[in-house]
Amino acid sequence: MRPLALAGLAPYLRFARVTLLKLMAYRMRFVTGIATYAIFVGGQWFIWKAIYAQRGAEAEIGGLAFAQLTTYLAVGYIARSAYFTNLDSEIATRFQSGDVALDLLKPLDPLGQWLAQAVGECAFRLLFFALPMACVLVPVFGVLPPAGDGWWQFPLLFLLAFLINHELNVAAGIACFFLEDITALTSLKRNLLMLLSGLLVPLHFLPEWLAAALVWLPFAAIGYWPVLAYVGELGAHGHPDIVMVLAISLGWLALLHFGNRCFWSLARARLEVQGG
Amino acid sequence: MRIALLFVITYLKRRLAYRGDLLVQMLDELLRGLIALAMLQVYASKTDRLAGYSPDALLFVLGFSLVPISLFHCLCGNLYQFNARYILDGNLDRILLRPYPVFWQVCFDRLAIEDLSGTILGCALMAIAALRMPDFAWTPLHLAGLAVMLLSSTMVVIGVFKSFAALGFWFDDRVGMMPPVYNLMEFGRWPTELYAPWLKLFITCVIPFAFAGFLPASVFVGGESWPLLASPVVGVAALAVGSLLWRLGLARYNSTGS
Repeated sequence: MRPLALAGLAPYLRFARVTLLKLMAYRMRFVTGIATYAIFVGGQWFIWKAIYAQRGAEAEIGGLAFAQLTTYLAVGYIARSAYFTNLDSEIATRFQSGDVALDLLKPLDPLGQWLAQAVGECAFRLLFFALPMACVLVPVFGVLPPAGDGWWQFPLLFLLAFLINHELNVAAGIACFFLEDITALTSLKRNLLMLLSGLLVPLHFLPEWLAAALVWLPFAAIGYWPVLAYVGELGAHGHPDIVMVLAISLGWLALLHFGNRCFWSLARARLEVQGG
Repeated sequence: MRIALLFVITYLKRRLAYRGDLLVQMLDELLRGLIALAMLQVYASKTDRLAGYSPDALLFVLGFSLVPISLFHCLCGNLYQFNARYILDGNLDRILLRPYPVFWQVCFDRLAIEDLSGTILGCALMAIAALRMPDFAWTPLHLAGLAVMLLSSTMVVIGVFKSFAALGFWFDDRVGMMPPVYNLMEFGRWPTELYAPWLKLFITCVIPFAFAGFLPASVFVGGESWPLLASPVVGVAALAVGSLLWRLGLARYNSTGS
């Protein structure tokens, strides 16, 4: 049984490999990508440094000391450099150019194909973005090693972050089918996610009513929970424990995946590709 | 001038055909401002003074900084994708055929009127902040000064991006240096006293984004007053450097040939 199952995976693996190779062609982006993230972290680092300095050396804000908050921000951005994919605009481009017809011809599940592409991009990003970025950010900002159970909780939640982010990407990609210019929608989604996922600031730093609502949304599973696990805060300071977080994340993943299946068949039914 | 008007009108017609896009783009521009506002609220909830500036003063600076960015998005948003869209995809060839300045054509190719929502939000934030500050001077002279500062800030932003877009003539990469430079603007929004000396020097003298936000804005909320004179100078200088690089780059341009 086993070889057969693997053989069924082979065409999907090929998509992952091709995406990886395609991205290797643009090397200049490593440098600019790392610079961008260093600027993001740096900008906040200076402001938080001033705020903590006013409160004294031992100060904690929201249960986090300055070094922990720095770690939260840096690890959040490093993780984002890996789970972030451009699949939304890629799907949208295929819709607009009509190439999506080719996807329909293949005896493969398009949603599976997209996931494989995202895995390829994520593998590339882990190796060529996240790793060098960690090499730069960790010494520069004094990032701490994972605390408490973070060493196993973080990778697990990172995997869920990647999957949930991917489902959101697919949803946005299909939604672009109904628009002309996709850059605005993808940019809107990206900016909204940065705040709602807790990338810019830990969610519990936001006003209480907002934080209380945001932890129940799928976005928290992308940025907030994995990094909070990394700094060892899950189950401490009134934060939910790992079981609860896993339950929320898995629930959202299932819901989003099912939603995307419906959304995709809806778009497919409306799809009209002109020949030529 | 007549030609410019024609470009603009044609473009507006094209844009209005897709109102959904317009709305999404407008929301996006507003969202960027609102996220910055949310971050300011977070900082303000943890401290009452940042480098000596009150949350209201910082709100004024934030509102101020939204205006040049939004005007840049509206007028020259195309510069951001200049490398990919014009140099690599070969759209520049089409433009070079027309007897009209290349830079203006690139700008007129995409005038994002919806991004003016950022200007409105920025002005509203400035007004709110000014009303909350009892010692804000509402004299005509003051407001005229504010307008001049906003104009010079916009010149700084456009000048810097024109320079980096022009660098695309030398380095053909799809995204180029734009994203890190764009994000560098974030530093220009906060008191320069927060930063390490080298960074302070960098954002005032090398890539002068401090003149596109904090320095000119702080004049009105109790900061030093020297940027009042320096800002227009830096604005003109940034535009001059941008235009020079643009000219040099255009002179050495070879088409991609497709």
